[in-house]
Order: sequence, then structure tokens, then C-alpha cells
Amino acid sequence: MWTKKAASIVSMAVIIVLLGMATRNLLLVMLSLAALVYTTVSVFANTSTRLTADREMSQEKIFEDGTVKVELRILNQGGKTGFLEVRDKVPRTIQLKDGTNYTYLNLSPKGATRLKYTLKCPLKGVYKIGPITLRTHDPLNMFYKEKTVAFESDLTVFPQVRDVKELYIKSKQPKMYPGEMKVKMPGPGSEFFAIRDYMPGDPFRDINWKAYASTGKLLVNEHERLSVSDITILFDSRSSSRYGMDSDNANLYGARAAATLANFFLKRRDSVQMVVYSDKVLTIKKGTGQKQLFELLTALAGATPKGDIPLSGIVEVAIPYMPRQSPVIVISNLEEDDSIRKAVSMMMMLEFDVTIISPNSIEFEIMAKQKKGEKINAAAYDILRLEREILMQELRGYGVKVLDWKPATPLTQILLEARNY
Amino acid sequence: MAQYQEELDNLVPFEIGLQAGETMIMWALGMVFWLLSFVFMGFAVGWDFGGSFGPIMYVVGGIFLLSSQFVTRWNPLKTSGMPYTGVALWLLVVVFAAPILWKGWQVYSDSSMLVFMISYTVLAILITGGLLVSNFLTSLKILDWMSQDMATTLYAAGIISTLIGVTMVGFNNRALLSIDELTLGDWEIMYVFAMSYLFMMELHNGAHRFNDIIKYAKERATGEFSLTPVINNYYIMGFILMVIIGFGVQLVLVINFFIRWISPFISEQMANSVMMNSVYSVVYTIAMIFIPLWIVLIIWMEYRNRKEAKEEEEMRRKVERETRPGIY
Repeated sequence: MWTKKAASIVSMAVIIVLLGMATRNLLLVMLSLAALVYTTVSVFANTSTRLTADREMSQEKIFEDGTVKVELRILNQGGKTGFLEVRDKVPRTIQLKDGTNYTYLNLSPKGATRLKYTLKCPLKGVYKIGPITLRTHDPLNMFYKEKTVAFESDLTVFPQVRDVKELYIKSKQPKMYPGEMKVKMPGPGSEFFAIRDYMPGDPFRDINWKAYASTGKLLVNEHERLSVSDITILFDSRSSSRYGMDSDNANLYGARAAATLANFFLKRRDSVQMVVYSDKVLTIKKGTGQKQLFELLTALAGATPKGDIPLSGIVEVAIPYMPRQSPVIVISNLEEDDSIRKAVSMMMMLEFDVTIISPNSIEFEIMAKQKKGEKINAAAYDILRLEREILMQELRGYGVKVLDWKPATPLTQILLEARNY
Repeated sequence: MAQYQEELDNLVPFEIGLQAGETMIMWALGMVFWLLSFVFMGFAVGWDFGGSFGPIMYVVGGIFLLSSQFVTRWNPLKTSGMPYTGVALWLLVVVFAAPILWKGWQVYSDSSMLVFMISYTVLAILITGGLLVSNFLTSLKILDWMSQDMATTLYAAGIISTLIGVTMVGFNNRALLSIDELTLGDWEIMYVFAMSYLFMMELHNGAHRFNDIIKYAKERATGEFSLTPVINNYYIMGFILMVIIGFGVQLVLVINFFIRWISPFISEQMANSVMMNSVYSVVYTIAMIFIPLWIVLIIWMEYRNRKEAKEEEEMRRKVERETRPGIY
């Protein structure tokens, strides 16, 4: 293949020779002659090579901000490579922490080289490392040969999981198995729930002696029942969730919240199911344990913003699989979806305990514009904020917990805000 | 809300400072060869440049070439979306070409300067309009192609300027018109001039290339990245190739001498023609050698590429066959 340089030199040589003829200038003709010989000699200096390459990665699945070590091996099975450029393609959002994914070298016949580098992955996603591009060219860089080794390695970056100590998200409908979740009903547990009259058979240790002293009646303490519960997470990954920057947007923040919640509930031995909706619907059936967590995290990692399926459609499809009165957590920026009110009222009618965690896309967009130094139309954004506030108030009117999540607020704090409801 | 994507990574701040240390020798050598080409151009025309415009253009070109090493790969097109360097390069060509065309007009036409000015302005407007139309109304954005980073634009401007200088100097020296009157020494001087210019172009281009690689690698890599072995190899291989190229140019000139020597034996009329006794004889020799040679080379290169592509495809299929799971 011709390089830009070769094309420029040949074009220049033709122009100069024509100019030299037009002006009968021997100096120009001599320059053109030199340029033409230069190009011709370079054709023969371009060597033919046989190169193979492979890649080894220390891990294929990591969490955000995690690192992965990559080793690239290039083997020359032919003669001299001449000038060899090696580039292992790394996605734009992955950072190179150590070493290099690019090199420029001369490889001897049957020679080999290794390229070691460490990648830091700050953003969740399902990435492909590679392909490997090998380009050889002559010393004067006039002609080149490029070979792409279509060898790609998958790298899954899970969203960050934060440690949350306690969440006041409770189910009204207990399951038969004892667990760790309070279900707003009296039963076996450690936390105080209510006082009632003593009934024959009640254990003595439950008698409230202080109440007995003041009222003269035998009263017993009731504890809040602890049980395993089914939790449903509806994760909005529609195209509107990408507003903002690569590193700060509703999709990314929402995925972190979903991952943290899923981890918390699964640790509590709850059963968690999740629906990720974008241009299609991905449903992860309810389950427990580490395997379920792995599946949920994989789904969240691969949730890229696209499509515009409305929430009401998702609710209609998912309702038969959601146990009555169980907690439903909707993670959505609440943008560009007219069906939210309908969806929420439908869930509230069926007595689901709905919590909406809403990353604020307006603030993400403003933040992105500020970073780029672009002018911000304050009035337009004030209107957008007002519209959002009205929508959230309406949803609160249905009895839903709505958490407005601004970029500056840490995830743990926004989850703790659920206490206020 | 509008879609908003982060593009801040593409911004390259404008910086003035020396380019990478590894390429300094190339720059210095390039400038030495530029100076040599200027000196030998002077010798070739007996230091009669026929006016100051030609040598001034040559010196301005040298200054551009030198200054191209002091700026970064700052690209205004990428930063602001406006092809500033493309427009600057275009203006430079329009302005620098005007005196040459005026000189040609004086030599070949009896019309007044006013007619030239009107013709030239119309020509410049037409070409500029064409470029703007291509940029704003079609997908063929020539101005964008012309708009390179600052260092490359200065390098291109330097080459264009020096070539304009050479053209102008040649215009003013009728001595170069009759090549049969040139001595072997004159030929050698012009040969050294051409080779010096080629060396300068190659060294500065090499410096740009290696500097880009070093910058790219240093931006991307946090570990050590050394290009010294490759640069050393470039010096050795480049020198060998340049010697071969030097012999190649001499070979063409020898063939030209031979053709001119043998032509009286073939045809007296041809031997006495302008074709054989002016620069056209060299152009004729170039055409005679390079046109058939390049036809053969292009066919050979195409054949080789196809053969390699076929081998690669076969290899890929073989790997696919070997890795396909069997049916048990």
C-alpha cells in the first residue's frame, strides 16, 4: 500500500516535472528525477513478512477502577520485518496504567517480542481488547503492509458495588422462609414493633414489665418479623440515560446503584430479579446467591444506552412475575417517557412498595457543558428542572418514594435518604 | 434534551518548544542539507538569481521548515472545527504563486499588468470558491484535507515556498535552457543540489514521523518507550537507500547522455532538435525509463498483494477449520 508520503512525493514529482517543462527549468527536472528514483527504490525496500500475534489477559471480569494485565506476543516467522509498528486496540474509555499497547521496532528473522501493559477500567461495560494491527514499512516510509490479527479478548467491567449497611426498603408480604429482611409484620425478630395484650402461651421474656407497672395489665412486646423477600429492580438503560459525559451519566450512576442494591439484598438472602430495558428487554429471573449477583452484574455491565421502550410496557410485562406487595425499585432518569405516571399508578394499585431512584440527567448535561466551556441556556434548564420537579411531586403523590440523585451526591447518601420516607 | 458526547480527549493544546530530543539530529542534518541545496543552487546559476524574489522564497521556505520543529501537533480543525491551517496554506500558495505567474505572463504575453491582475484574481476567486463549495455543500471537503496540524502545515509551506523559489530562480536563468552547453561540473552541481534537497525533505519528514510516534507513545504509555534502536536503524538503512538512489539518479543521467550521444547516429534532425538539446531530453529519458518501469512495478505489486491476500485467506480458513467443534 502507498503511504500518504509516497502519494505526495509522486504527485509533487509529476507537478514539478510539468512545471520544469513549462518553464524549461533544469533544476526542477532534476528534483523531479530524484523524487521518482527515490520512490522506485523504496518499492524494492518494502519487505514481505509473516507475523503472528496472540494476547493473554490476567482477568476477563473486573469491577470498575480495577486493573487487568495484558501480555501481547508477536512472533516473526519470516525474514526481516523492516520497520514494524504494533498496536493493540484498546477502547477509548479504558486507560493505560502502565506499559504500552503500541510499539515500533525492527524484528529479526524468527524473532519475537512481548508487549506488556496494564489497563485501568474506570467505567463499566463489555469491552473488546484488540484487534492487533501489525504494520511494516520500508525505511523511507513510502510503502506499507498492514495486517490485522482479528484476535479480540472480551473484558467485562462490572459496575462499582458500594457497601451499604442498612436500607429501609421493606416488604409487606412475607415469604415462608426466615431471613434478614424486616417485613412490617409482627413475628420472630429482634427489633421492637408494637405492644399487645398478653395471651396464654406468650414467652415470659416478652412481657413488658414497665408497661405492666404503669397500667396493671400484662402486655407483651412484639418484634418485627424478619423474612426473606423478593425484590424487583427495573433498570432504565434507554438512550436518554447517556446524557452527560462518558464518565458521568445516568446510565453509569444507575448501574452502580442497581449493583449496590442487588449486592445488599442478595447478601441479606433476599431473592432479586431485574429487568433492564433499552431497545430491548433483558430479564434476569429471581434468584439468590453469588451466581445471581454475577448474572445481575453482567447484565448491568452490558447495559448500553439505546432505544426508548416505555416503563409502562415493562411493568405490564413484568407484573405477573412480581410478588404482590413486594418492593420494586425503579432506577430511571425519568426523562423522555410519558408512561411513567401510568406505570407507577399501575404498581401502586397492586400495592407494590415502589421506590424510584432517579439520577438527574439535567445536571449531568449541565456539568458536561460546563466542562467543555459551552454556553448554558439558564432559562431552558430552569424550565426542565421545573418540569422534573412537578413530575417527581406527582409521583410522590401516588405514595412512591422518589429520590432525586444529583451528580454531586454520593450513592450511599442517596440510598440513606430512603429513611426519610 | 440534546445528545451530548464528551470529545475533550481530542483537544491538543498549542505549545511552542523543541520537538522530541531523539529527532534533533535529523532536524539539524535536514537544515544542513537545505543550506547545501541553496549553495549548490547558487553555484548552478552562477550566483545570478535574476532578482531577489527566488532566493527570498527559498529562505522563507527554510524558515518555515525550521519553525515546523518548534510547534506541537496542535490541530485547529480538530479543536475548533474551522480548517484554519488549510485556509492559511491555500492563501500562502495563492500569494506565493502570483509573482511566478506574473513572471511567466511577462515572458510569454504582451498583455498589460491589469489584464494579468484581473485574470489572476478571477482564477483565485474561482479556485477559492470551488474549495469553499466543496467544504460546505458537498462531502468532498478539500479544505479539511489540506488542514493538517501546525507542524505539518509549516513543513508543507516550507517545501512549497522553496519550490517556488527554485522555479523563480530557474525562470530568471536562461543559461539552463541549453543543456548541451552545460559542463559535466554543472551537471554534478545540479545533481548534488537535487540530492541535497531530497535529503533535506527525507530527514525533516523522518523527524516529523518519529516525533509523532514518540509523542503518541509518550501520551499513551506510562512505561519507558525508546525509539533509539529504530532511529539508528533508520540512519543506517536510510543512508544505504540514499546511496542507491544517488546511483539511480546518476544512471538516468548517464542514459540521457547516451541517448544524446547516440542520437546523431540515428537521426541528424533528432540530434539537432530542441527536444534533444533542452530540459526536454531529460524529461524524455525520465518518461522512457519510468513509465514502462512503473507499469511493470504496479502489475507486480498488485500480483504480490493478491497472492499475499489469498495466502492469508487460506490461512484464516485453515485456522477456522481446525478450531471448529466436531460433531460427536
